[in-house]
Parts: sequence; structure tokens; C-alpha cells
Amino acid sequence: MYGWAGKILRVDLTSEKVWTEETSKYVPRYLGARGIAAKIAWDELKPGLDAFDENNLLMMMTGPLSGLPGPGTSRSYVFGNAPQGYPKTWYMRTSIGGRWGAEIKYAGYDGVVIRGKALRPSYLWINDDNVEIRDAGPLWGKDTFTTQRLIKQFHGHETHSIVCGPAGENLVRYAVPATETECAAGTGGMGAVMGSKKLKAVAAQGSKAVRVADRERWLKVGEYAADMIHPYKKSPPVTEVSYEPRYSIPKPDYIQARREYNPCYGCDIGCKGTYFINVPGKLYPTTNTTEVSCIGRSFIARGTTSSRMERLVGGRDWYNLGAEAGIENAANVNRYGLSHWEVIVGISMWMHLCKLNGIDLEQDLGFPVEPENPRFWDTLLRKITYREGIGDLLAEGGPRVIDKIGKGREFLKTVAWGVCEHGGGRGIWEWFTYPHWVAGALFWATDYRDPYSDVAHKQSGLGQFPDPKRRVELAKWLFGTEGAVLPLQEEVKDMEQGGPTPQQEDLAYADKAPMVIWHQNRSVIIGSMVLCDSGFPLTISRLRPNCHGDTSIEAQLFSAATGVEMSEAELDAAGERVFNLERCLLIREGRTRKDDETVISFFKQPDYTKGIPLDEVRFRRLMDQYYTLRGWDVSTGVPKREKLEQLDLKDVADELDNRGLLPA
Amino acid sequence: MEVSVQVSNEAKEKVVTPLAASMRLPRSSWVKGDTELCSTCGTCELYCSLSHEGSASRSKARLNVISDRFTGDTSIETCRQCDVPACLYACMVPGAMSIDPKTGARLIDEDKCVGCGNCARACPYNAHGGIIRLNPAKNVYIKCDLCGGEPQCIRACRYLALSYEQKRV
Repeated sequence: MYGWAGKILRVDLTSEKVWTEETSKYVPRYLGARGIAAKIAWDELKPGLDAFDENNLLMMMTGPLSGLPGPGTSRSYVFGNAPQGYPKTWYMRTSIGGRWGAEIKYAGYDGVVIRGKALRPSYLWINDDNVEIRDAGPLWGKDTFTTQRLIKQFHGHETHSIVCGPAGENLVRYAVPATETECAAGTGGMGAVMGSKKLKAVAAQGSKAVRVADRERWLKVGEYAADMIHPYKKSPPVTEVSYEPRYSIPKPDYIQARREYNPCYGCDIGCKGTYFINVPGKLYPTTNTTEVSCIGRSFIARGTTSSRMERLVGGRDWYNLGAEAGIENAANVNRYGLSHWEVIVGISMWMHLCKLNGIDLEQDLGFPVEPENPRFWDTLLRKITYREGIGDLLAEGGPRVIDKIGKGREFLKTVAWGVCEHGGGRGIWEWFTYPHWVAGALFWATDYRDPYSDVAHKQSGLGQFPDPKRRVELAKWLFGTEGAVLPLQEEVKDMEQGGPTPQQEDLAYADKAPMVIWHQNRSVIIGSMVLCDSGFPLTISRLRPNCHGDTSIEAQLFSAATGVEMSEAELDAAGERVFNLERCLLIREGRTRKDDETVISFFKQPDYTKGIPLDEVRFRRLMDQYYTLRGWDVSTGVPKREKLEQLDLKDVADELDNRGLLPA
Repeated sequence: MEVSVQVSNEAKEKVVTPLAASMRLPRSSWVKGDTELCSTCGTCELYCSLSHEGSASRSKARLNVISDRFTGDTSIETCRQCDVPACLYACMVPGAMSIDPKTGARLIDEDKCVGCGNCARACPYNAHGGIIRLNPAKNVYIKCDLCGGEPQCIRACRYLALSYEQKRV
């Protein structure tokens, strides 16, 4: 087999049994990681299962491209019933970078599917054909950095592992499986699933190889793709520790820092954040190293450019911890194995906005809310991780906290299903403008987790493209219609000056559905290959004069690696099949259109750039259009039998029919 | 009064060490790594393995990028193609190690290698075992051969951390 390693490792922790399964059972029909996981979940995850049930599956999967040199390969995915789900837990996907994905392929497996619950703390040690469930006594209770270092001491420095921190052991609902210093499968709280299974780590080391069907073609296509993402250049030195240029904090000389350092194995995109070495902490003597990227940098400083957010926080600064305390904090979150996103956008943002707007939480929390004080963060993180005092409640995640405390609901930036704002224009992504968050709302409504990390990152890239003429031209090239980016955000008036005209409103809610569907099908392909959302789909390339990317690149890479010749259209169809299968999985859990519509209340709040709220009537019409284009029933949001049979999912349709869930 | 006499380098070497010069092996170019520029992505290792073995594997690469994420230590281990190659002198199998007439690279002939590992043990830089390593599938040792003058690892590196260093002959 080319591309795929050929075997999936199955582990039952209860009976301590390990066996393998042929990957060819699932591919090429289900492509790889996300497709295979959806199929396994459909076959084996019973509906209505709680995330902490021992029959829950923890699936760590890679795809046919993992382990090969090229842009954005070597990521992996974690799937399963996610504790973060609210009001009830359900299936989620979450992706993770680092080196584990490549290493597990070199050990000869396309993924690890774990069920059951170990009697005592254990970890899984995978060394080629030798797979052992080992005692994790010495590792239990250790932070994620120490756990990985100890595993490297046990099994050699080329061993790479996905571990859970103390947060996962204590079943914090947003604990992450983590690897290296800041790679984490953020959404869903799969770290708590690891903790509930008493599984501390999955360590892998492999000496096998990933075979490529056509080596020359692979190198050619890979370099062609990489040329559109990253030029041949020396990384410039780090001079600032700030989040964005608008908030400049120069790097102190005594902190060593490197940029584009330690990327995922074999990937030359270099998306990663800044690596800090030997940072003197405010509370602890030294933070040896940590990587601070993406959301983690909000700890260092956070400013705002949107006028409404300024009013809400009373100035341009949210908070400004500075380099030392900020980096230390980011490192602590990584060490504990908590999700940066939920800590920053969820819990702490809610506390901070409550405080700035005169809601006193000190009595409920038992400690003052002082986001400028490193001691506050230390207390907060420790209490959450070890479930001390109020931390026991905070560890349950934003919506469950609000249900209990009942204060400041409007400041909790949870869009739906227990997952925080991303691409909504009303929270941390406050700069995301109308009309682009309209498509964002549709992404949110029809996904089962935060869609902005692996589905719609590139939609925001197109939406925020600075030159309007180019933006329109790109939309026309990509989706065949300019409507995907209309009305131009530059022409829409602020709500205080009248807001968008009815014509602009009509435009904003028209022609968004095809783009959303295209991105969703594409995200399945990227999640199955596995490719990285920071590079793919290659819709825009700023390194090319006309900024056009190449959307056929996934098909070319797939064909070159696996030898299974697939065109772009065929691959999109495979993506659509998996997306529908995942939808059916949720339908079986009880999801309907009513659940999709729960996102509306969040988006009806005025946005933070122009104060424009979601137009509910027009949005429902947009949803109708989406369901129709998808071939789903408009009133219930369930895929129709014709559609499922067209996608060769007759057995799925039959089961839904048996349960009485299929529309007549 | 100063008298300056111009002596060519070649002449100088002939005068200084006539015996050594006559015994000297042809010098070789080598691939040099710069840890300040290296991102430690490992694309070079995979290009190496792909071009030599046809499949991607970290453990079949002829160079080794080591990075410890928890201390920030980085090292790029490439074959120095030494002027006095301990590996070549340690090899007991006639003809198993030779010198590439084009680049000067110290080569292992996979057809003649018996997998004894004398070369790997003799190499003074091979502490991590990433410069001369065993390919268990064929039971032969593998090392950098400079790809006949066009090293694939250098082609792979987008951070320009690897360079082809010509030694003065």
C-alpha cells in the first residue's frame, strides 16, 4: 500500500487486548483520518453515550500523506465523544500538530483506536510491531512537559508522545491531549477522555517507512505547493513579543527567542509561533522553553481596534501582562494541559468583561478578578486544573458555569455546544466584519464544533483580503460568483449612521451557501489527508502575482502519494460523503435543524466592528438554501434518502429509517 | 630591506609535508548545517530517505537533525567527509568503502558492505548514530554520499540552513 501505512491499531484497555485491522477496509472510500473515524464512529459509537463512559472511543488518526515531506503534512486528528459538548456531550473532531503523526506512521499504523478503561494509570508504548500497555505510575500527576521528557528517558529521544496533563487526569472538560510544548488538540476536551480512560500517554517510535507511489511527482507537486506558501528564505530574528503590530512590546535582550522553529515533522510551512527559551518568570524562577503562537499570545498583551470592544473594555487594552508573565502563563496552560482557547476566550474573558462592566464575581469566585496580575492567573489555572474550590465548577466549562452562577451571560462568548467564539466578530475575533460573519454563522450552524480552525480559516483570509477589487475577483474565480464576499465591507455603513441598506442586507445573505458547502467538503479532505489548515485549501497565495492559489493541489498530492488517481471533483464527492455521514452521526444523537438554529441568538448581538446584528429572517432563508443545496430536508435538517443513496450511503439511510429519523 | 617571495599554496604544501601530501586522500566537499537558521522541520531527512530508499523514513536518513523542544537545543549532524576518514580506514572489507572521484565523498558500497559496523563505531562524530547508521532491511550501513554533487537535503531546505561547502583541494 502506498501512502497509507496499511494497519489501524485497536486497543481495549479494559481487557488489555491489542489487535490490528486492515486500513484497506476503509480506503480509498473514506480517504483517511476524518473519514475513517466517522465510519468507525457510525459503526461502533452507540448513540446517547456519555463522553466519560468507558465505551467511548478515543481515535487518534493520521492520513495517507502524514509522514511524507511536504507542506502541512504530519498533522493528526483526535476523534471521539467530547466532554466539552453542551448541553450534552457528542462526537467532535480536533486536530493536533507536532511529530507524533509522522512517528505513528513510521511505526506502521494509520491510527490508534482506543476503547475501554484501564484499571490503573497506564500508557501505550508503540514500537513498530511491539505494542504494550504499560504502567504509568511514575507519570501520573506530572505535567505535559515532564511526562514527555520522562517518556523520552524511558524509550529514547526519538520517541514522540501525545499526553494528557493534570487537567486531563482531573476530567476538566476542556483538557487537551498535548504533544511537544504547544501542540494541542484544543477543542472538545479529549484530554479528559484520556484521563477517564486512565491513559496518560500514547508514545510511539517507528523504524518503518511511508512508501510513495510516484516519488518524482510527489516532490514536484509538494514543491509547487510549498512555493505558494513559503519562499526559500532565512527567518528574520525576533524583535517583538507582541501579538500584532498594533500592540508593540519589544523583546527584552535576556530572553532568547526563535521564529518558525520546531514545526511539525517534514513540514516546511513554518506556521508556528515564537519559541522562547530561558524566560525568567514572575512567579516561578525559569520557564525553560515554551512556544507561544496563535491565541496563546493573548496572555502577553491584548489590544483592540474595534470601537465597540473599546467601549466594552474601556480603552484599547484588554490587559497587558507583558513578556515575562505572559510567556510564563502560556507555558503553565500548556503544562497543565488546558485549552488556551477556552481559558482565554471563554472563562477569563467572561470574568474580565463582567468586571469591566460592573458585575462583581469576587464573592462567587473567592478571589478578585485581576487579569493584569500574574498571581490571578496562577490561582485561576491551578484551581481549574486540580478542581480546587470554585475551580471544580470552572472546570466544567463556560456554559455550565453560567448555569450555576447566572451572572454575565451576555459576556460569555460561547456560540453553541459549549464551544467558544471563533469567526463570529463578537468576541476575540472582534475585527471580523460584516458580511463575512454571516457565512461564519452558517458555518457554525451546520458544524458540530468550532468551524474556524479547520474549515473556514481560508474564508476569513479571503474576507479580510485588503484590496476589494482583488477580493471580488478571487471570489469569482473560486466560487463562480462574486456574492461570496459581497457587499464590500468598505461600503457598509456603521449602525449609528444607518447601517446596511436593504440591498446590502439582501446581498449579504445571498450566495453564501455554495461557498460554505465548498469549504466544508474541502475540510473533510484536508482532515482526511491530513493536511494543515494554515496552508490548505490553497485558495489564496500572496506569493503569486495574481494571488490565485491552486485548488486541485489536494487531489494531486493524494494521487502522487497513494497511486489512487482521483480528480478534484471525485475527491470533493468523497468529502461530501463523509460530511453527510458525520451529519447522520449527529442526527442519530438527536440533532435537528432546531439545534442548528441555536447559534442565532449569539449572532443577534450587534457585532463589534459596526454594530450590525444578524437578520434572523434572512438567515433562516439562507439556511433553507443551504439545506436544499445539500439535499437535506429543509424543516428537519436531515439528509434525504435520495441524497444518501446518491452518496452510496444506503446502509446509513436504512439505519436512520429504522430509528424513524429519516424525513418522509 | 624586505624581500617578499611569493610561494604558491601548492608549493608550500609540497615543501612542508611532502610525505603527508603524497599519502593524502582527495579532499571532499560536504554539507554544512547552520543551527541558527535551522527550523528543525526534518524535511531534509525525508528528502534524503526518499531519494536514496524511495520511501520516507526518519530512521533511513543520512543526516540527522536533533532538537530538544524542552531546552531549545538543536544540532544538525551531517557527515564531515573528513580529510582523514576514520570510517574508511576502519573498513575491513576490500572495496566496500571508496571515494567518489567526482565529489570526493566517502562512499559505502551497499553490495559489498557486510554490516559489521566498524565504520559507524570509528566515526568520531557518530555519537547519536545519525551519520553512519544501519539499514536493518538490507543489513548494510548507510552514509551521506553527497548525491553525486547535488545533495537533495539542500534542495529541501526552505530555511537555507544547509550549504554545500567546497573544501580547498
